Amino acid sequence: MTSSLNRKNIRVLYLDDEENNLRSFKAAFRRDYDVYIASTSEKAFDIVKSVKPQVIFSDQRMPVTTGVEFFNAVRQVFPDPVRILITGYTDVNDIIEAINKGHIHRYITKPWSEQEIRVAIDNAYDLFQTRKSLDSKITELEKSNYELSRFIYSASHDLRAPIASTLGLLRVAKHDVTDEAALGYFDKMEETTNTLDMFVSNIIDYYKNARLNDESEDVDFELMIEDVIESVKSYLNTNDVHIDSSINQKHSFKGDIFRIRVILSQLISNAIKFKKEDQKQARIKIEIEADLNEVNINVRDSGVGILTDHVQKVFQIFFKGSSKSAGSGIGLYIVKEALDRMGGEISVDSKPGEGTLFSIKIPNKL
Amino acid sequence: MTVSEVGSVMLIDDNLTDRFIHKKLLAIHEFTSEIIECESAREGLEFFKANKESKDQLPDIILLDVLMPEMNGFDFLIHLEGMEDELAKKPIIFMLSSTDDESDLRKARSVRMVNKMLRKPFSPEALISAISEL
Repeated sequence: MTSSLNRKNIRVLYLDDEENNLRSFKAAFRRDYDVYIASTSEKAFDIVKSVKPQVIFSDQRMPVTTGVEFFNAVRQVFPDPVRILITGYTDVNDIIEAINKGHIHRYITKPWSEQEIRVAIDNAYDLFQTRKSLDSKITELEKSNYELSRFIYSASHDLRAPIASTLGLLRVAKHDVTDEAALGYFDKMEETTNTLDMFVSNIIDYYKNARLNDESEDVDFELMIEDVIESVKSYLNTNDVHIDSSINQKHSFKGDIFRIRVILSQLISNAIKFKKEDQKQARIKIEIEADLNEVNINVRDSGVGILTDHVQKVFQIFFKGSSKSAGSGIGLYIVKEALDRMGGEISVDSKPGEGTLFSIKIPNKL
Repeated sequence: MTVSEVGSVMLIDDNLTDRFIHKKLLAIHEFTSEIIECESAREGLEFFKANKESKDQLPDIILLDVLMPEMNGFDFLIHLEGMEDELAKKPIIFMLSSTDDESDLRKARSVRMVNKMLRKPFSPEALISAISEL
């Protein structure tokens, strides 16, 4: 509640065509609040403009404009002040409509009591302050969302470009240099740089997913899978993968292309990375069934599998199955987050040494 | 198309190191010895303006960086598209990007002249397989 100490900061305007009412209103409240009075809607409008009251009272029945009409006009230009109507019982229908349309906050019936008005002012002022702080929070949020987008853009270009150059230089160096020891170092450097590369990409994906905007676009799963497989292969710098995909999409599907891509990329790159050591080639089976309601996607591999104790933990941030793992511990967390944003689900079925099946379900936003 | 049919390659990239890498990798994989190096999109455009009627001078393939100062890869393509009809030979264009940013990919797909977007570091294997698809 508002303390009595700062009530003098509360600017209250009262509009009424009857001078007697204005005088008694001012006399009753001027010691506690910063009170302004007006006998016509023009004068009231001027005061609203110059003084910017937080709370406005208006009589309903006046000769030229009604209180509801006045509030409706004020609202268009100055939406912030909390508007309270003072009225007799007979006008109730008009007022209910005005409240429902959001033109006025509440009404007080005549004759009012001082106590009633005080409570109304204090509550209205609290509402005003809450709205104001909410507005500034929204502005802050929009600003940080914007900054996040800029960070993502510059991180994805400026941070990744030198990594790509380093990897390119290592590729060249491995051709140019014949010294065994040097080649050994290059291999280690390449391995380390790849880990860094993956970590940076995952961080970027994480922040992209954290952005607020949700977009729904037409998804062509055939095209998307093709894209994702190609980009994952180039990313892991491997061609040694056997992917068998069956896609059944008879209807158009609307969804968040970026998030679905991230999910598929993560699952497919995991399936490639976590093949068994004696396996020459990662083998992956992808099944996609899209209908009017949802899409069901299965990504099945015959890799190392996940330990039973770990199955429930794989979606936790920074969880790693083993210290040998080249993963960042962010990948599956991002998958889960992205699915949560889209109202999707994921489940895992895995047998150590036999392979893993990830099943996801994403609603069609058609 | 096969690699042996590639006569000349134009590299447009503002990054000296990346141009060095691409040149080296093209040489290692015996692509071509004819490489036209441009350190800006503007320089690439000037080359096209000066040589538009010469089939021998124009490159078969352009490796075009996406993000460059002043004029980026997409802006370059808008200008090139404008003079496309006057060119004695139409180049095959591969864009190179250090990210697989969804918006860049989409943009590349919407530009008719772009054959494919390749991710950096430049991989001759990826280029060879893209060329063989032509």
